[in-house]
Amino acid sequence: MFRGLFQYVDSNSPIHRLNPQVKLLMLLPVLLLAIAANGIVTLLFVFAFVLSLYLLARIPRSRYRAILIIGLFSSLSFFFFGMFFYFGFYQHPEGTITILTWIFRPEQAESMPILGPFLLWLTGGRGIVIAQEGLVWGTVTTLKFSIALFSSNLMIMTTKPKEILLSLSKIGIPVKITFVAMTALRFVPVVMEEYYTIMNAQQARGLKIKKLNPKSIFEGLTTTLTTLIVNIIKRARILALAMETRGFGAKVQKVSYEELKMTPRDKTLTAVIFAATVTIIILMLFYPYHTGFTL
Amino acid sequence: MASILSTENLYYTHPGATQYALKNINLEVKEGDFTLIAGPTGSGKSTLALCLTGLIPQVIVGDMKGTVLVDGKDTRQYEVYQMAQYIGLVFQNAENQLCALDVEDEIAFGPRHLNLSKEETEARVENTLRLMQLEQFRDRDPQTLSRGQKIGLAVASVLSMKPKVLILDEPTLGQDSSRINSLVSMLKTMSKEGLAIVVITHDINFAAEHASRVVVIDNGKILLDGEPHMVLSQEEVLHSASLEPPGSVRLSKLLGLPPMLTVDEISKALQNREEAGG
Repeated sequence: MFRGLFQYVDSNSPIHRLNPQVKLLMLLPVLLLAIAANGIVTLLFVFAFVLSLYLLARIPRSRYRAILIIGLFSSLSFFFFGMFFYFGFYQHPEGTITILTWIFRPEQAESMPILGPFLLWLTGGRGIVIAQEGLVWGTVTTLKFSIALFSSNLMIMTTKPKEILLSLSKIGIPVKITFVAMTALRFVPVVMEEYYTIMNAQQARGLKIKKLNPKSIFEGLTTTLTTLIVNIIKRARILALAMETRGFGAKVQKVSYEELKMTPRDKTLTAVIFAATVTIIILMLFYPYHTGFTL
Repeated sequence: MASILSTENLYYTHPGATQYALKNINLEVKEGDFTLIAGPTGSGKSTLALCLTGLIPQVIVGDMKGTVLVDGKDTRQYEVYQMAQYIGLVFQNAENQLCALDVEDEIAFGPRHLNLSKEETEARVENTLRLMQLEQFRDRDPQTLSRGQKIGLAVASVLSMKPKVLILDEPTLGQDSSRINSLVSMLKTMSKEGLAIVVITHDINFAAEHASRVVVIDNGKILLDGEPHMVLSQEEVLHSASLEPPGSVRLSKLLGLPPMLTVDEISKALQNREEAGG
């Protein structure tokens, strides 16, 4: 299901040809907006911008599946959480938020055996409501998360891992840290492959997973994941030992000798990105309510 | 030839264990030696390899007694990355030790950590690619290579550091015979150039005919150590260590000949006998 998530897709689109450092820089204003902006319209606009870059990158449709599943699942969980358990309702007295309907009133607790007192205990005696602010919070959080997920995934899908490593160390991030990050990324397919092998082997030995039974899924996952985690730890240990015998840990002046060239177009784009970032920061500081930013 | 790797009264106990994993290992490897360390699974062969490279006691804890000298340097006194330029180790599971994003980078990993110049690093990468016949894969992701190619790449990534001793842990596992043969012939060339090679295996037939020396280990102790003909003729000792001597040894015994390791040797001996007798 998750084959192809966070993996490079080879193509020759305008996004692929862009200098990796510029791409990395482009994440800056996008992520800044995702973190700081709270207006739905602003966030929708940014999300649409990220999606348009996907179209420009000509990513084959089959590679969307994993990210759509993750995006949808996380969106739904944020949305439902905001809908039913909006924190504002529990933090502030009644009247400061707009309650649309009551799902569970504290008075109802007596008429519901077991569940009633439990819900009362869970909600600190306040009950459950659907509030307008909760719906807004759910939508905003969903958008923020989706922007971060889709934009970083696009970066990884359109940039060769080697180029990411190179541009990260160019920015001045220590080699050891970039190395750890890249190793984690590059072993994703290996670990996924191993997960399928373990699962197939266990199914061949009679493990039955009923797809719609949560208990069965949980049992299947625990047996498979235990084996998988043990294998990953073993693998990581060997990798660490092997790297140590190949000199990892020695002080190195320069790890890579390759250069990244900035074309005039890259330079212009860098200037535009910088200008956009500065504009966003100014808007956030001086016009928070007009633009939907609240810091 | 000068001794390049030696152990003296080496004892090792795994953390928490009560029994020795290695008992009184005295080993000496000279420049250009092709040594085969054979033993059944769990006999302590791989632990010995970890001791020889200095991973024990520098990285892996446990109780180690005795000394290991690589090129005259005590492994206790140097970090593993400092020893890396003298001794290289290819681990049992090749794909677990590949860490770079393409084949060229994988081979350049070692030389770069030795702080070599750009030109020197490139020259070493080219040489090693040619030596291991990996030239056409230079831009491939190591994880997409076949199993045999991964083993070749793991060997290449160690060879590019130009160590004085090369240890290979079970290099024959999962390889077809043509790849094994080309690996053996490559190792032989390297050993003629002065590289000391230590092959750890449970398959005593592998390279028995090429090795200049065979060491048999069982239960952490050295049972036999010497010239291959001498070691492989000791059938009872080998059987006690769950090792099967090559069929040619038994055949030569049945024919009333001294122990022989290859069919060629036997046919030559038979010819000689006929000529002498005829």
